Amino acid sequence: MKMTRGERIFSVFNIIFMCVLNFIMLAPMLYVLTLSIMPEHIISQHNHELLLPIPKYITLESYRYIFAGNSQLIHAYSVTAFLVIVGTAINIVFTMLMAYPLSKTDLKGRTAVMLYVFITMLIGGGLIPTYLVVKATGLIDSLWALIIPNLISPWYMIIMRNFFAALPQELLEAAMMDGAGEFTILWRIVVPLSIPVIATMSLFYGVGYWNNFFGVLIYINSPSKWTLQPFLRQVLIEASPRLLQESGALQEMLKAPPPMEQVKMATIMAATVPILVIYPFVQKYFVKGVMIGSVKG
Amino acid sequence: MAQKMLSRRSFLKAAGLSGAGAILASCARTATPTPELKPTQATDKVTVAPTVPPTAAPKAPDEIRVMLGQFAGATVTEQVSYIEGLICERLNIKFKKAIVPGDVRIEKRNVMMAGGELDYAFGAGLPDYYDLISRGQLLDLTDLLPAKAPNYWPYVDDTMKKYIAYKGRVYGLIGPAVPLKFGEPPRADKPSTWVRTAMRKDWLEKLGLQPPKNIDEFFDVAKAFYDQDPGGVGKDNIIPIVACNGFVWNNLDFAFGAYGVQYNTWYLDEADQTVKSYDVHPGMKDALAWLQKAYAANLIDKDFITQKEPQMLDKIKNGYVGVFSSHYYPQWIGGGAIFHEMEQLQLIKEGSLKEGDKFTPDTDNPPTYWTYLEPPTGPNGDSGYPGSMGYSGVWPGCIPRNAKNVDAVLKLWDFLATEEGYLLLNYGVKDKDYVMTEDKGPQPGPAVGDKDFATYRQEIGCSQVPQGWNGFGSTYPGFAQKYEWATSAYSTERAATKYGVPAGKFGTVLIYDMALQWARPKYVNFTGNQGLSAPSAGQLSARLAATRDEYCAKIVTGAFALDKFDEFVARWQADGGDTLVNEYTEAYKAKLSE
Repeated sequence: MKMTRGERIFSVFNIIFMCVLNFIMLAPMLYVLTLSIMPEHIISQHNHELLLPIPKYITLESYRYIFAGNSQLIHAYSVTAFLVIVGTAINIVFTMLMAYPLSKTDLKGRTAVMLYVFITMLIGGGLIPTYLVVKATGLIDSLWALIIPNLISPWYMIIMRNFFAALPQELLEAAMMDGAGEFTILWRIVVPLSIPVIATMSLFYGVGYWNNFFGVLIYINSPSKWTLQPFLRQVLIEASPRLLQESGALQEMLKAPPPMEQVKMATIMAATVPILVIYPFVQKYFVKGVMIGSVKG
Repeated sequence: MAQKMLSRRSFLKAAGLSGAGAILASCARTATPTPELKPTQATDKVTVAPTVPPTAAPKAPDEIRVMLGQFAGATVTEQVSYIEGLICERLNIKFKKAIVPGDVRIEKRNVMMAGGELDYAFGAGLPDYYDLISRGQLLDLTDLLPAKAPNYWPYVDDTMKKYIAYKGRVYGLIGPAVPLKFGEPPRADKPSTWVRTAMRKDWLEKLGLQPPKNIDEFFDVAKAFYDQDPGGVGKDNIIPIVACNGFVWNNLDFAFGAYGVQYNTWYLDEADQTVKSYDVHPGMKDALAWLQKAYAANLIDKDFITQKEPQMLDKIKNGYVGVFSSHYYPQWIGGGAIFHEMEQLQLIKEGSLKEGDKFTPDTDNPPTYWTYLEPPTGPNGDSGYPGSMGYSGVWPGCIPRNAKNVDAVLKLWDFLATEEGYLLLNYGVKDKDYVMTEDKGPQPGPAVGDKDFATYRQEIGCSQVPQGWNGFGSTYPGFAQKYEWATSAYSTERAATKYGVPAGKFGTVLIYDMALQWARPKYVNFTGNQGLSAPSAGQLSARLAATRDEYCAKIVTGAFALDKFDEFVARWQADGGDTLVNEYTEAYKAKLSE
């Protein structure tokens, strides 16, 4: 269909506007990338105002440094990966196990349980009581302290419950007529039909673990169990490349590490890119899952 | 079918309830004993010292739970250093460490104290320390110390009590921050500072100028730098006086000091015994007038309000800057880390050093391009920098009221207050790590080999118990002057002789010299030094600081006329400044009456 003149003008402005918007979004990332791969004296000569790299000066020294053999960054990566993979899987299982029964209108006590869940959304335990509970359960300085107290997010559980409730009941009844039990129905019927919401919730939980910062500071006492975010923050604030190497590796430290500004920027890229890469893969589920959660009461 | 329905209902109920249970998992679970701490990873350096016999062999070590902050320049780990291992072995104790980023240590400390998870804590400055006491969170040590730490107790003299006693009771321990002169003990009545001002030596020589003595000469020299561009960097690049982050980074303290004031600093007006702020002192207006004049003449960095430290340091490294006045950090090592970075960059630019090649700075000699200045004097003869008093810069160490292992902490404190404890902490094992000499104090022992003694001691964890923290070690002034400073003085004298450089003009000695000469008692923040707190400070301070920063920035950059300073004073007083003056004065009087 041929566009009118007004529509064409609108489209042109729209495209320009979106390009500018995209550039604004991408500029900080580009800036960080550039600083991470350019030598310090070049950055310095440009008074830290270099947005795009100059190809002939590109160096990957800072990346080689942060991913060196005994790098603390890799260790923080592995801790974070454990939390994201194991924590998210457990979160999803428990959230489903609670959401599924509560999606049944004929479940006795359903309203009371929902009210109880809802109250936890309004009133939190507070930092000190929560800390005392985690301490009493022996979870201080354990990675499980970051998983178990947040096993089920009430908000995500309600979204999932609404999604389950919207599934065609006839399908579930047909399965029941064929002799399927509740576990079979949940696993063979509900889960395959709920991929969008499961993918979305997994993303939410996963990003939550990836970005977890405060919980790590409060419940974890050993730097060897620090996740990526506290580690990243420490590198940026302390401005010391020494943090990237195991303590005691004095000889390594004396090998003239790359300039700290480069190392810091490389660390930011290393901490940001992996989680960004996940988004495109779950995008098709993400929109659907969020929409369902947001428009159904 | 009915059976199926029953089974279905049971499943749903069970699943729903299990989910609800999971949400409250942490609340519903019965308390389980805290799992035993995993043994800390010992380095291969940890060995049992043959000369230090263990005490009660079969008894399990007493555990001291401490929290360590990860600060710039120190990598704190869970590892047990050689020295920590020796002391733990000697006293049959062990540390359970919680390690957190340094800047969130207060929050974590408060949470851990509330949870009864600490046996040893720290106060973040005297106001915080007094606050902990007033909330009843600290153990009263007044009666415990003489009984359980008899070696330490004599150090709690009247001077120390002046700072740490609260209503006549002792709740914590502190030590000196910086010794004021080689071979002399620190003094609570003299301030120390880390601020110093450096000027381009090669530029002065090229223009045939002498280092300025007063603030007018200072202006003239900076103007000569700008007008004549001795470095040949071009009018667009040359920055006679550099600064960043506005006024709070110590870069312009020399100018405030010359006019008898310091930015963001409280003082005691001796005349009427009132605690006042220099921010609204008449001298502040004079200092701003000088800065305004200098800014208008292009002598002060145009970006000084907005730029951050990295940008400022870049300008120094590139050779654009004539005067750099700063606190210790950028000039940390020897003659100055940033100055050595500049030397490195200049070599790269000249092509005599390749990017990535190792550069070894000469830390035994003054920096190539820079010379340090006496702080310039003002029209009334004032000069100098802010600083801290001998005892005020240290966080008091204290024991939480709900600590479990009080005796173990006191045992450690007491041991480190003995000569044996001091030497073990700071030098290791006699005749192995060090040998004692009559005239030069402890000298390298056979285990040191070819290494530098200071490097060796750093590697084995000297002065830090537990590893990564000198909280316990720095608490004891008793033997420091007898051994540590004597050793340093000897080393410096040796270096000075070797290189023909006057002792006291570079490196560590310079810091001590400055501490003695350039800090002024009147510029030490009175409220912090005295541990005074004002109930309204939390509510008012940020707003008053924002008003001050805005007015001062606009006056210096010419956006406001100088007369606007009077408007600022009136606004500051009305917006709560007078309230703080009254509250701090009341707090001071209350302290005097104690």
